Amino acid sequence: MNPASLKRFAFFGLVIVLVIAVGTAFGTAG
Amino acid sequence: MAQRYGGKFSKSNESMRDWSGAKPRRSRFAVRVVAAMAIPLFIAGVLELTSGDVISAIIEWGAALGLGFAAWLIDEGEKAQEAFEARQIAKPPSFPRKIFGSVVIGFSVFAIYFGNGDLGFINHILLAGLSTILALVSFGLDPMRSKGLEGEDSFERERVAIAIEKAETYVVEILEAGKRIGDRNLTDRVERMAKSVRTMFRTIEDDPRDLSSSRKYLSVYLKGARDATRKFAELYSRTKDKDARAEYEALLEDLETSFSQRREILLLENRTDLDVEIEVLRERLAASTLKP
Repeated sequence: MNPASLKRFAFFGLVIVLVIAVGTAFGTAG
Repeated sequence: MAQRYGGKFSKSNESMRDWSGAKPRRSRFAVRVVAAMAIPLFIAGVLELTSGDVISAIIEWGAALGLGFAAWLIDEGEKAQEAFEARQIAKPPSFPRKIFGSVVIGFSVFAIYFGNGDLGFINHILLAGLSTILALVSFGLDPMRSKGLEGEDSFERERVAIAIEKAETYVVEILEAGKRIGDRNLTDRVERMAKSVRTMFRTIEDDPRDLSSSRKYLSVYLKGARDATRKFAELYSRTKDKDARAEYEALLEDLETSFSQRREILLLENRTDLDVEIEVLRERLAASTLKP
Protein backbone atom coordinates (compact mmCIF):
# COMPACT_ATOMS: atom_id res chain seq x y z
CA MET A 1 0.00 0.00 0.00
CA ASN A 2 1.50 3.36 -0.94
CA PRO A 3 1.72 6.12 1.71
CA ALA A 4 -1.06 8.23 0.14
CA SER A 5 -3.53 5.30 0.18
CA LEU A 6 -2.51 4.44 3.74
CA LYS A 7 -3.18 8.04 4.79
CA ARG A 8 -6.60 7.99 3.13
CA PHE A 9 -7.41 4.63 4.67
CA ALA A 10 -6.41 5.86 8.14
CA PHE A 11 -8.45 9.02 7.69
CA PHE A 12 -11.57 7.01 6.80
CA GLY A 13 -10.96 4.85 9.86
CA LEU A 14 -10.66 7.96 12.01
CA VAL A 15 -13.89 9.40 10.59
CA ILE A 16 -15.72 6.11 11.30
CA VAL A 17 -14.48 6.06 14.93
CA LEU A 18 -15.48 9.70 15.38
CA VAL A 19 -18.92 9.21 13.79
CA ILE A 20 -19.63 6.18 16.01
CA ALA A 21 -18.47 8.20 19.05
CA VAL A 22 -20.72 11.12 18.15
CA GLY A 23 -23.56 8.68 17.42
CA THR A 24 -23.09 7.14 20.87
CA ALA A 25 -23.28 10.59 22.42
CA PHE A 26 -26.55 11.26 20.56
CA GLY A 27 -27.89 7.82 21.47
CA THR A 28 -27.60 8.48 25.19
CA ALA A 29 -28.81 12.06 24.86
CA GLY A 30 -31.93 11.18 22.88
CA MET B 1 -25.42 36.54 -3.71
CA ALA B 2 -22.19 38.26 -2.78
CA GLN B 3 -19.15 36.98 -4.61
CA ARG B 4 -15.52 37.33 -3.67
CA TYR B 5 -13.55 39.54 -6.03
CA GLY B 6 -11.04 37.62 -8.06
CA GLY B 7 -10.69 35.21 -10.92
CA LYS B 8 -8.49 32.55 -12.41
CA PHE B 9 -5.42 34.78 -12.38
CA SER B 10 -6.11 36.62 -9.14
CA LYS B 11 -3.97 36.10 -6.09
CA SER B 12 -5.64 34.20 -3.31
CA ASN B 13 -5.28 34.55 0.44
CA GLU B 14 -2.73 31.78 0.26
CA SER B 15 -0.13 34.40 -0.75
CA MET B 16 0.40 34.98 2.97
CA ARG B 17 1.92 31.55 2.95
CA ASP B 18 3.75 31.89 -0.30
CA TRP B 19 7.00 30.27 0.70
CA SER B 20 8.27 30.53 -2.88
CA GLY B 21 7.82 27.11 -4.37
CA ALA B 22 5.98 25.45 -1.48
CA LYS B 23 3.42 22.78 -2.31
CA PRO B 24 -0.22 23.58 -1.53
CA ARG B 25 -1.57 22.52 1.84
CA ARG B 26 -2.55 18.88 2.01
CA SER B 27 -4.84 17.89 4.84
CA ARG B 28 -7.09 20.93 4.83
CA PHE B 29 -10.24 18.92 4.13
CA ALA B 30 -9.35 16.30 6.72
CA VAL B 31 -8.76 18.98 9.37
CA ARG B 32 -12.14 20.53 8.59
CA VAL B 33 -13.87 17.16 8.94
CA VAL B 34 -12.38 16.70 12.43
CA ALA B 35 -13.40 20.24 13.40
CA ALA B 36 -16.92 19.67 12.01
CA MET B 37 -17.40 16.69 14.36
CA ALA B 38 -17.43 19.17 17.25
CA ILE B 39 -20.78 20.62 16.10
CA PRO B 40 -23.00 17.51 16.53
CA LEU B 41 -21.15 16.79 19.80
CA PHE B 42 -22.01 20.24 21.08
CA ILE B 43 -25.69 19.67 20.12
CA ALA B 44 -25.62 16.28 21.86
CA GLY B 45 -24.36 18.12 24.96
CA VAL B 46 -27.31 20.52 24.78
CA LEU B 47 -29.71 17.55 24.52
CA GLU B 48 -28.05 15.96 27.56
CA LEU B 49 -28.56 19.20 29.46
CA THR B 50 -32.26 19.39 28.56
CA SER B 51 -32.70 15.83 29.80
CA GLY B 52 -31.05 16.87 33.08
CA ASP B 53 -27.69 15.08 32.74
CA VAL B 54 -25.28 17.91 33.50
CA ILE B 55 -22.15 15.74 33.87
CA SER B 56 -22.58 14.12 30.41
CA ALA B 57 -23.28 17.55 28.89
CA ILE B 58 -20.03 18.92 30.34
CA ILE B 59 -18.06 15.87 29.12
CA GLU B 60 -19.49 16.21 25.59
CA TRP B 61 -18.80 19.93 25.43
CA GLY B 62 -15.27 19.24 26.67
CA ALA B 63 -14.83 16.62 23.93
CA ALA B 64 -16.23 19.05 21.33
CA LEU B 65 -13.73 21.71 22.47
CA GLY B 66 -11.00 19.07 22.37
CA LEU B 67 -11.77 18.17 18.75
CA GLY B 68 -11.84 21.84 17.74
CA PHE B 69 -8.53 22.47 19.52
CA ALA B 70 -6.99 19.35 17.93
CA ALA B 71 -8.08 20.48 14.44
CA TRP B 72 -6.53 23.92 15.05
CA LEU B 73 -3.29 22.38 16.35
CA ILE B 74 -3.00 20.04 13.35
CA ASP B 75 -3.68 22.95 10.98
CA GLU B 76 -0.94 25.01 12.63
CA GLY B 77 1.36 21.97 12.44
CA GLU B 78 0.68 21.70 8.70
CA LYS B 79 1.60 25.38 8.24
CA ALA B 80 4.83 24.92 10.20
CA GLN B 81 5.67 21.83 8.15
CA GLU B 82 5.01 23.71 4.93
CA ALA B 83 7.40 26.48 5.97
CA PHE B 84 9.96 23.85 6.99
CA GLU B 85 9.72 22.05 3.65
CA ALA B 86 10.09 25.27 1.64
CA ARG B 87 13.42 26.10 3.26
CA GLN B 88 16.75 24.59 2.50
CA ILE B 89 18.10 25.22 5.96
CA ALA B 90 15.60 24.82 8.77
CA LYS B 91 15.19 23.73 12.35
CA PRO B 92 12.22 21.53 13.22
CA PRO B 93 9.18 23.29 14.76
CA SER B 94 9.76 23.85 18.48
CA PHE B 95 6.47 22.18 19.42
CA PRO B 96 5.18 19.03 17.62
CA ARG B 97 1.67 20.35 16.99
CA LYS B 98 0.43 17.53 14.73
CA ILE B 99 1.43 14.82 17.20
CA PHE B 100 -0.09 16.73 20.11
CA GLY B 101 -3.28 17.35 18.07
CA SER B 102 -3.60 13.60 17.37
CA VAL B 103 -3.21 12.85 21.09
CA VAL B 104 -5.93 15.42 21.88
CA ILE B 105 -8.23 13.63 19.38
CA GLY B 106 -7.59 10.40 21.35
CA PHE B 107 -8.45 12.12 24.65
CA SER B 108 -11.67 13.54 23.13
CA VAL B 109 -12.76 10.09 21.87
CA PHE B 110 -11.98 8.64 25.31
CA ALA B 111 -14.10 11.36 26.96
CA ILE B 112 -17.07 10.69 24.64
CA TYR B 113 -17.06 6.93 25.25
CA PHE B 114 -16.33 7.35 28.95
CA GLY B 115 -19.28 9.72 29.33
CA ASN B 116 -21.74 7.69 27.27
CA GLY B 117 -20.68 4.19 26.35
CA ASP B 118 -20.74 1.09 28.50
CA LEU B 119 -17.97 -0.76 26.72
CA GLY B 120 -15.70 -0.93 29.74
CA PHE B 121 -12.68 1.17 30.71
CA ILE B 122 -10.12 -0.93 28.78
CA ASN B 123 -12.16 -0.69 25.56
CA HIS B 124 -12.45 3.08 25.99
CA ILE B 125 -8.66 3.31 26.24
CA LEU B 126 -8.24 1.02 23.22
CA LEU B 127 -10.61 3.17 21.13
CA ALA B 128 -8.81 6.33 22.22
CA GLY B 129 -5.45 4.75 21.31
CA LEU B 130 -6.82 3.59 17.96
CA SER B 131 -8.08 7.08 17.09
CA THR B 132 -4.72 8.61 18.07
CA ILE B 133 -2.87 6.13 15.83
CA LEU B 134 -5.30 6.70 12.94
CA ALA B 135 -4.90 10.48 13.33
CA LEU B 136 -1.10 10.15 13.42
CA VAL B 137 -1.10 8.06 10.25
CA SER B 138 -3.55 10.27 8.37
CA PHE B 139 -2.00 13.63 9.33
CA GLY B 140 1.60 12.47 9.58
CA LEU B 141 4.28 13.41 12.09
CA ASP B 142 5.87 16.82 12.51
CA PRO B 143 9.39 17.31 11.13
CA MET B 144 11.73 16.22 13.93
CA ARG B 145 15.21 16.75 12.57
CA SER B 146 16.76 19.93 11.32
CA LYS B 147 17.74 19.91 7.68
CA GLY B 148 20.59 21.52 5.80
CA LEU B 149 22.49 22.06 9.06
CA GLU B 150 24.88 19.17 8.63
CA GLY B 151 28.28 19.41 6.95
CA GLU B 152 31.47 21.28 7.69
CA ASP B 153 29.94 24.71 8.12
CA SER B 154 27.08 23.58 10.38
CA PHE B 155 27.66 26.48 12.78
CA GLU B 156 27.34 28.98 9.93
CA ARG B 157 24.23 27.22 8.65
CA GLU B 158 22.61 27.35 12.05
CA ARG B 159 23.27 31.09 12.21
CA VAL B 160 21.64 31.45 8.79
CA ALA B 161 18.59 29.45 9.90
CA ILE B 162 18.14 31.69 12.96
CA ALA B 163 18.61 34.91 10.95
CA ILE B 164 16.20 33.84 8.19
CA GLU B 165 13.59 32.74 10.72
CA LYS B 166 13.72 36.17 12.37
CA ALA B 167 13.60 37.92 8.98
CA GLU B 168 10.65 35.75 7.94
CA THR B 169 8.61 37.03 10.90
CA TYR B 170 9.19 40.58 9.61
CA VAL B 171 7.96 39.53 6.15
CA VAL B 172 4.79 37.97 7.60
CA GLU B 173 4.18 41.14 9.66
CA ILE B 174 4.69 43.30 6.55
CA LEU B 175 2.16 41.16 4.63
CA GLU B 176 -0.33 41.38 7.50
CA ALA B 177 0.01 45.19 7.63
CA GLY B 178 -0.23 45.24 3.79
CA LYS B 179 -3.64 43.59 3.98
CA ARG B 180 -4.87 46.39 6.24
CA ILE B 181 -4.07 49.11 3.67
CA GLY B 182 -7.40 48.43 1.98
CA ASP B 183 -6.13 48.96 -1.57
CA ARG B 184 -5.79 45.87 -3.70
CA ASN B 185 -3.06 47.30 -5.95
CA LEU B 186 -0.89 48.35 -3.03
CA THR B 187 -1.44 45.03 -1.27
CA ASP B 188 -0.30 43.27 -4.43
CA ARG B 189 2.79 45.49 -4.57
CA VAL B 190 3.62 44.58 -0.98
CA GLU B 191 3.24 40.88 -1.82
CA ARG B 192 5.55 41.28 -4.81
CA MET B 193 8.15 42.96 -2.64
CA ALA B 194 7.84 40.10 -0.11
CA LYS B 195 8.40 37.62 -2.89
CA SER B 196 11.68 39.25 -3.93
CA VAL B 197 12.76 39.33 -0.26
CA ARG B 198 12.04 35.61 0.11
CA THR B 199 13.96 34.85 -3.08
CA MET B 200 16.96 36.54 -1.46
CA PHE B 201 16.49 34.36 1.64
CA ARG B 202 16.81 31.24 -0.53
CA THR B 203 20.02 32.63 -2.07
CA ILE B 204 21.54 33.15 1.39
CA GLU B 205 20.49 29.64 2.42
CA ASP B 206 22.27 28.30 -0.65
CA ASP B 207 25.53 29.84 0.47
CA PRO B 208 25.72 30.66 4.22
CA ARG B 209 28.85 32.78 3.66
CA ASP B 210 26.51 35.44 2.25
CA LEU B 211 24.96 36.01 5.66
CA SER B 212 27.42 38.52 7.13
CA SER B 213 27.25 40.80 4.10
CA SER B 214 23.43 40.66 4.04
CA ARG B 215 22.63 41.08 7.73
CA LYS B 216 21.62 44.71 7.24
CA TYR B 217 19.02 43.60 4.71
CA LEU B 218 17.63 40.88 6.94
CA SER B 219 17.22 43.06 10.00
CA VAL B 220 17.44 46.84 9.63
CA TYR B 221 15.76 47.24 6.23
CA LEU B 222 13.04 44.67 6.84
CA LYS B 223 12.27 46.07 10.29
CA GLY B 224 12.08 49.55 8.78
CA ALA B 225 9.82 48.28 5.98
CA ARG B 226 7.54 46.65 8.55
CA ASP B 227 7.24 49.81 10.64
CA ALA B 228 6.67 51.96 7.55
CA THR B 229 3.98 49.58 6.24
CA ARG B 230 2.20 49.53 9.60
CA LYS B 231 2.19 53.32 9.87
CA PHE B 232 1.15 53.76 6.24
CA ALA B 233 -1.69 51.20 6.57
CA GLU B 234 -2.98 53.03 9.63
CA LEU B 235 -2.77 56.45 7.95
CA TYR B 236 -3.99 55.49 4.49
CA SER B 237 -7.00 53.48 5.66
CA ARG B 238 -8.21 56.63 7.46
CA THR B 239 -7.13 59.54 5.25
CA LYS B 240 -6.46 58.12 1.74
CA ASP B 241 -3.57 60.61 1.57
CA LYS B 242 -2.24 60.69 -2.00
CA ASP B 243 1.21 62.10 -1.11
CA ALA B 244 1.75 59.39 1.49
CA ARG B 245 0.71 56.79 -1.06
CA ALA B 246 3.21 58.08 -3.63
CA GLU B 247 5.99 58.09 -1.03
CA TYR B 248 5.11 54.60 0.15
CA GLU B 249 5.02 53.32 -3.44
CA ALA B 250 8.48 54.80 -4.01
CA LEU B 251 9.71 53.06 -0.85
CA LEU B 252 8.30 49.71 -2.06
CA GLU B 253 9.98 50.21 -5.41
CA ASP B 254 13.32 50.98 -3.71
CA LEU B 255 13.03 47.98 -1.43
CA GLU B 256 12.15 45.62 -4.24
CA THR B 257 15.02 46.88 -6.39
CA SER B 258 17.59 46.83 -3.60
CA PHE B 259 16.66 43.31 -2.50
CA SER B 260 16.83 41.92 -6.03
CA GLN B 261 20.11 43.81 -6.67
CA ARG B 262 21.53 42.40 -3.45
CA ARG B 263 20.55 38.92 -4.61
CA GLU B 264 22.29 39.48 -7.95
CA ILE B 265 25.42 40.68 -6.16
CA LEU B 266 25.39 37.55 -3.97
CA LEU B 267 25.04 35.32 -7.02
CA LEU B 268 27.83 37.22 -8.73
CA GLU B 269 30.07 36.79 -5.65
CA ASN B 270 29.36 33.05 -5.72
CA ARG B 271 30.28 33.03 -9.40
CA THR B 272 33.51 34.91 -8.69
CA ASP B 273 34.37 32.41 -5.95
CA LEU B 274 33.81 29.59 -8.41
CA ASP B 275 35.94 31.30 -11.06
CA VAL B 276 38.79 31.79 -8.58
CA GLU B 277 38.61 28.15 -7.47
CA ILE B 278 38.64 26.91 -11.07
CA GLU B 279 41.53 29.23 -11.95
CA VAL B 280 43.63 28.13 -8.95
CA LEU B 281 42.97 24.46 -9.67
CA ARG B 282 43.83 24.82 -13.35
CA GLU B 283 47.06 26.66 -12.53
CA ARG B 284 48.05 23.90 -10.10
CA LEU B 285 47.19 21.22 -12.64
CA ALA B 286 49.21 23.03 -15.29
CA ALA B 287 52.15 23.37 -12.87
CA SER B 288 52.14 19.67 -12.00
CA THR B 289 51.95 18.56 -15.63
CA LEU B 290 54.96 20.78 -16.42
CA LYS B 291 57.05 19.02 -13.75
CA PRO B 292 58.96 16.02 -14.97
